[in-house]
Amino acid sequence: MLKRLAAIFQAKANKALDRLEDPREMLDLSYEKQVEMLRDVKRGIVEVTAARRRLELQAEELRAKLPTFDAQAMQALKNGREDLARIALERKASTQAQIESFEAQVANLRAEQEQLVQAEQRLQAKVEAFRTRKEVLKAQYTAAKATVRIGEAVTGLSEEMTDVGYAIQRAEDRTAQLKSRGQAIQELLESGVLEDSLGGTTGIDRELEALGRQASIDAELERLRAAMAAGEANR
Amino acid sequence: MIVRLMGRGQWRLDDALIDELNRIDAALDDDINRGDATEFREHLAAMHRLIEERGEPVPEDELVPSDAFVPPVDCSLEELRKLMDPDGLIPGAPAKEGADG
Repeated sequence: MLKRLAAIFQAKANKALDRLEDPREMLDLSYEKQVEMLRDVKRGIVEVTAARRRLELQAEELRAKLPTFDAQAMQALKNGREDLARIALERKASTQAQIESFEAQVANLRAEQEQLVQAEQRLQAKVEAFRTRKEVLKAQYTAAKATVRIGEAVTGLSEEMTDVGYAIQRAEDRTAQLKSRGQAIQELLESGVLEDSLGGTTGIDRELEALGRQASIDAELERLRAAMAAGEANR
Repeated sequence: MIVRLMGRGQWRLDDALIDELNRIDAALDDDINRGDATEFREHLAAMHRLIEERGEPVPEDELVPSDAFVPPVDCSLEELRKLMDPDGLIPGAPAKEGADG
């Protein structure tokens, strides 16, 4: 497995090597290309970091919605509907578990991205080393071994580049997966319906909703009564 | 021998460690063939430990190609299959060799 992976990753670099007849020309071209790719890498890291921050915010927003279930349960109890209160609390527990696992995965992503930043710094150092090395190699070009050394330097750098590129792609994939996961939890929260464990809950939802509406009407009535009482007192 | 831990950089391994590395690599190949995700994860972690604890990190300003690539420690079997697929992740990769890995 180890050697095959190395072969796969290095194939790209070797292909670039074969294409150019004069290795000196290749050194300059290769350097320019690497500098360009380094810019892409930096941009890629900025993007995945921003996406991860959005996921962190989303986790906070999801968590902030949990008290809705408590309010529903409280309302149900007030109306003597322990059955409905129980369902609301079950939903809360299940949503909370999902949010917690989501948060854990977002935290993993953060650790992964810290490694990515280190990888970028390493890459930057290597590109810099390549720049110095290429001038030396160009000057030594007549020496028989120079071609081999050029090949090594190019492959070494290109390999690093491909590796960082892969790490970024990986981080992007994970971010995208988590994004849809977060959205799914969000939708669950909004609809108040949690997957199959509570299959056929539309009737319950209607009841919980009705209880909620009833509560707000009661509160409204209370407010009106108080206003009326205040009015009479003033008369 | 130069080994790359993917996403983490390169390590230089003493020749004395190559046998041990190959032994774990063979175990990994076996896990892949059997589709044993648990063993695969354990062997992969063992390989990372071997390299990090007993290898020497390659300095940042050194440019050398690696003799071997080790997938990230949390790489799944499915992800590895994609990595190994010549038409997959890496553009311009060579045709697949024998099934020996």
